[in-house]
Amino acid sequence: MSIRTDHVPSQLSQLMTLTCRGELPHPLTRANQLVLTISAIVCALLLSSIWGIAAGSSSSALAIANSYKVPMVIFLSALTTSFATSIFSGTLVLATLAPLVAIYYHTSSRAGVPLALGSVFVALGTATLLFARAVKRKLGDESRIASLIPVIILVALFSAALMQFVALAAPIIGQTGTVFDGGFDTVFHR
Amino acid sequence: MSPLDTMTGLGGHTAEATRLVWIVASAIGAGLLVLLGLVYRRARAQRDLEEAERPIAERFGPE
Repeated sequence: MSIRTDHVPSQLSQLMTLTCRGELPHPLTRANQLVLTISAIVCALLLSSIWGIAAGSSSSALAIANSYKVPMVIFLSALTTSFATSIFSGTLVLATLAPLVAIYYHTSSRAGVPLALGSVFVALGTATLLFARAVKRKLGDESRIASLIPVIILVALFSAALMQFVALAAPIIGQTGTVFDGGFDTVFHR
Repeated sequence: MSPLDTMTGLGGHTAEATRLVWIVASAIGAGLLVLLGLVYRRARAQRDLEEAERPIAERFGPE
């Protein structure tokens, strides 16, 4: 038993290594990759739930609903793509910013909603950057443009799905809502 | 009543229609999560087996 624990670092440790360094010191087997991918998804859902509770903390009903709605919105949007570890890193940013979102929600009427929305864009940016890094590593340094195309397509797909699932699950941020509560129609209203 | 009778801004559908879509989407998501759980259990069992076999392969495997 001690041999196994020496060789296998915890899944969270492996996920953090993958998030920070971009690759693991040892190549993974197929089963190990699958375990790590599903762990990344589950961790991402838990982390996004923390952010959801913070973003909906203006009312207890919204906070409870968000604890389920936000992870489901991210999970359903992620079905269009398959960058599990990048979504994990994005939700890690969300969870890190969750206390800041919550405190501004309760102490500032002007900064609460913009900060919550801003944290989503920071998380999306982080996930995109890490996904781009992972794709670049896979394809090598020579094919920079080739690695850019799948990143743009998958991030656009994820964002498009996210926007409509957010609209379906609205309200998520605050009682009054945001421009994203109406989905594509209100975001691109002209 | 048609789902398009009362405009809400979300594709012109009623709030009830939108809520129904959300419930269906959530149910699909929940189902997929259960499926992921089953896949995880299987993959973890496979990984544990591989990890258990590795020291044996390292000790007795070909040079």
